[in-house]
Amino acid sequence: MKRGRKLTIGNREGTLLITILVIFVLMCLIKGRLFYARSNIEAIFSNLAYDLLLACGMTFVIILGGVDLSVGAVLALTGIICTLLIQQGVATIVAVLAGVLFGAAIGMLNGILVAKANVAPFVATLGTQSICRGICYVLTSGYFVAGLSEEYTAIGRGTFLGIPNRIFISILIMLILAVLSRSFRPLKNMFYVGGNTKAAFISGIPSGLTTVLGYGISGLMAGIAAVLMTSSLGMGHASYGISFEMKAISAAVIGGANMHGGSGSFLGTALGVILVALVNNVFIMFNGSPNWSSAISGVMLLLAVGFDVVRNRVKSDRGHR
Amino acid sequence: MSYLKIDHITKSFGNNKVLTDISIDFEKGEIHSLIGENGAGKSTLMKIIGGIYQADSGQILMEGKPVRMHDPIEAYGCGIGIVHQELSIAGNMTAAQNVFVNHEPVKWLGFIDWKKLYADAAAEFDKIGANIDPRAIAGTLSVGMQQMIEISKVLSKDVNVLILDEPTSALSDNEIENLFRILLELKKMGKLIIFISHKLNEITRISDKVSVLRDGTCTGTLDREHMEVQTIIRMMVGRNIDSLYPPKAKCRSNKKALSAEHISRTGKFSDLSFDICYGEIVGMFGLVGAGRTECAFSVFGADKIDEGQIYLEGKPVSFKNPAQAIKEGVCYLSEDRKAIGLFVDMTVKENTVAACLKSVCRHGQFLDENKAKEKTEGYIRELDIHPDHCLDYKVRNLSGGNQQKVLFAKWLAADPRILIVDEPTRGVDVGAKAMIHHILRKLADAGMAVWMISSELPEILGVSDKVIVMHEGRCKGILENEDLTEEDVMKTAFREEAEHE
Repeated sequence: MKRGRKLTIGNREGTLLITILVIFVLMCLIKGRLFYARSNIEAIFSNLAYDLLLACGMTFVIILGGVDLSVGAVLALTGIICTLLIQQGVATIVAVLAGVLFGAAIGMLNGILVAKANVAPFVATLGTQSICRGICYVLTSGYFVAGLSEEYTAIGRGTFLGIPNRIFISILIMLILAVLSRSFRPLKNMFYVGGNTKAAFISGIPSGLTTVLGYGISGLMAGIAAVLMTSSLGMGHASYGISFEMKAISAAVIGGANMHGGSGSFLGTALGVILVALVNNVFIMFNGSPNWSSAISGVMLLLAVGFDVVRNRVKSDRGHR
Repeated sequence: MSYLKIDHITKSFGNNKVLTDISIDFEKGEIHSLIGENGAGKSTLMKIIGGIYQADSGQILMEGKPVRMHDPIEAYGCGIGIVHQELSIAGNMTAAQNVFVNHEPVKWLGFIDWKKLYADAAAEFDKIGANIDPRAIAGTLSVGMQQMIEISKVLSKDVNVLILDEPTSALSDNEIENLFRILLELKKMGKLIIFISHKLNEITRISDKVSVLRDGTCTGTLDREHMEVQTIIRMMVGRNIDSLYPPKAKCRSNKKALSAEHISRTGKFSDLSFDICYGEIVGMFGLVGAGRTECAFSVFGADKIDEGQIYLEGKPVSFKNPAQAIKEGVCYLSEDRKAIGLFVDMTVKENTVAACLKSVCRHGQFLDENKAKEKTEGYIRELDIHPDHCLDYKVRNLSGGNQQKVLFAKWLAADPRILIVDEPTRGVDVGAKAMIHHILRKLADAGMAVWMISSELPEILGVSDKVIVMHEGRCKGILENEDLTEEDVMKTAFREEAEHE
C-alpha cells in the first residue's frame, strides 16, 4: 500500500479553515501590526457582511439546483424602498419590515416562476433582476436617496458588544441558517429536492413549496443586506449591489456547493466569503491595486473547482464502486 | 490456444479486493455468459477487458499475445467493444449520427458526408437485421431500438469481441427475442459475445458457456451440457436456494384495501377495475407499455385520473399528490430506482427517512438524528443491506441490489398499509431477488396489501396470489393464481387478438 493513499484530503470546510488560518498567521508574521490592527480586521469583516448574507441565501438556491441572479438588484431596490420610506417619515420599524418583506416577496416570485411555471432559474431570475434594477432607476432617476433619520442609520452604524451591528447580524443569521439547515425539516427538504426533484415528489416532499421557500430566503437575505447597507452608508442608490450575485455564487461554490444541486454547506460558504475577503485584503496589504479584486475572486473560484476535480480523481482511483 | 484469455487478473480498489486471481478462456464464435450476484465483480472484470480499468496483476492475452489497454480507444484497437448497461444515446440526434458518433464519414475539409452517413448506418442496421430508420431521432425510438443503435455503434468500429452488460433489463419480451436473434447472427459471423445478465433463463437459453463469479473469484465455467439452473445458483451463492419463491398466502382476508372502479387516463389506460385485499400479493402483469406504471402513478396521486373512482377501504379517495397518498398509507416503490426512487448522492440514512421525515422529527419539524439513525439501522439489519455499517455511505456507492434494498427501506419506513411495488427486482441478483420476494410475502402475511407490477412472468406466478393481466392499457383478466401457467397468462393478455384471427 502506497503511503500517499492514507493521507486523506479533508472535507471542504476543514481545508478552507486551514487555508484561512495559514494566511492569517503568515500575514501576522510578515506585516505585523499593520495586518492585525483592529481597523484592518474590521475592514475585512465589514465589507463581508453583505456578501455573507447574499451567499447564504444563494447556498439554499444552489442546493435546490438553481441559481438566483436577482439578489444584487433586489438589494438595490429594497434599499431604495426602505430609504424612500424613511425619507417620507415612516417609522423605522415599518420601513425596515416593508423592505425586508419586499425582498422576500421578490424571492418567492422567483421561486414560483421556477417551481410552478417551470421557467429555468437562470432565465426567471435574470428577468426579475432586470425588472428590479430598472425600477430602481425609475424611482430615483439615478440620484442618491439621502437625508435619512439617525434612528435608521444607527442600525448599520451601531455596535453590539463592540462589534459592528452588520457583522454581528450577518454572522448570527449565517449561524442560525447553518444549524437549521441540518435539522429543520422545511430546510432539510431542500437537499432532497435539489438531489432528485422527481424522487422528492414521489416521496411526498412538497417540492414546489420548498423551492418557493428557498428562493424566498434568498430574497429575504438580499432585503436584510439592503437595510444594513443603506443604513450604514446613510443613503440608497440604484447602483448598489451590482454583480453581488456573482460574488455570492463564487463564495458558495468555493465553500463546496455543487451547482447541480443537492449539496452545499453554510459553514463552507461563510469560509468562502471570508477567504475571498482575506485574500483581497492581503493583496492590498502588499500594495496591490484594489482593481484586481474581481480577478482574484475569479482565480480562487477556479482553484476551488480545480481542487474538486483533483479530489474526485483521487476518490475514483480509490474506487468507490 | 484461446482467442481471448484473461490470466490471473487481480484488482483492488484501495483496501477493497474486487477481483482475485481470475482466469477465463473465451473462444471466437461463442456466446459466453457471465453471471454473479451484484458486487461479485462482473462489471469490474468487463471494464478491465474494455480498457476502462487496469488490472493490478495478471494479463489479458489475445491469440496468445499479451495486450495492454489503457483506455477504451485502445480496447477498440484490439477489437473489443462494450455496450454498457446504461445506454449513451444522444436523444436529439438521428439514429445514424448516434451510430457514427466521433467517426462520421467526412468529405474534404472535414465536412460530414451526410449521404454516406445515412447509407452506412442503414447498412449497419441491415447487418444486424434491425428495422430502424437512420434518419429517426434516436430519443423518439423505443429502448430496444436504442439498444440496437448502441450495438451498431460498437459493431461499426469493426470489433470481434462484443461485451453486453445486462442488455435485457429494460427490454420487452419481443425486443429480447430480437436481441437474441442478433446475437446468434453475430455468433455465426465468428464474433465473441460476452453476455452479462441476471436472468438465468436467458443465460441458459443462449449461451454456449457460462462463467460464474462470486465475491471476486471465478467459481467455474460450465458448458452447455452442464448448464443447470440449480448448479449455477449454487455456484453463485455458495449454497442451494431451495425454493426460489416464497410460499403463498397463509390466510387472505376479504377486507378490501384498495379498489379501483372503471378508472381511465386518456392515452395511458382505460376502464380498469380491480380490488386488492389485505394480506395478499396482487401481481399486475403486462408487457412494457401495457399501462401498468401509469395506472400505479394515477392511483398514487403522481398523475391524474380522468374517469372512475378509487376507494380506500371502501371510502372514495382521490390523491392530489403523492404526499396525500403516503399520509393514507399508500406507498409506491418506483421501477426506476435512480431516476425517481433514490437520492443517490445522499446517505443511506437520509434516503431511508426521506418518505417519513415527519416521524423522525421532534415536534414534526426538527430532525432527530438519533431517531433517524435507529430507524435506518433497524432496516439495514432487517433487509440485510451490505455493508452493514453503510449508514453514512452515499447510496451511489452501494451495489444495485443493495440500492434496491435501501429503496425498500425508504418505503417500509413510511409505514404503508398498501404497498405498490413496480418491477421490484429489476437489475438485482438472484440472492437479493429471493430475499425481496420473501420480504413481500412477509409483509403481506403481516396484513399489508401488496400490489406488485412486473413484466417477468416467473416472478408474477411465483409470488402473487392473484394476477391482473394488462395489455395495451386495458385489463384483460384477473386470474386466481392456482396452478396458473405462463401460457394461461399470455393467452389472457393476447385474448382478443387471438379471437380476431
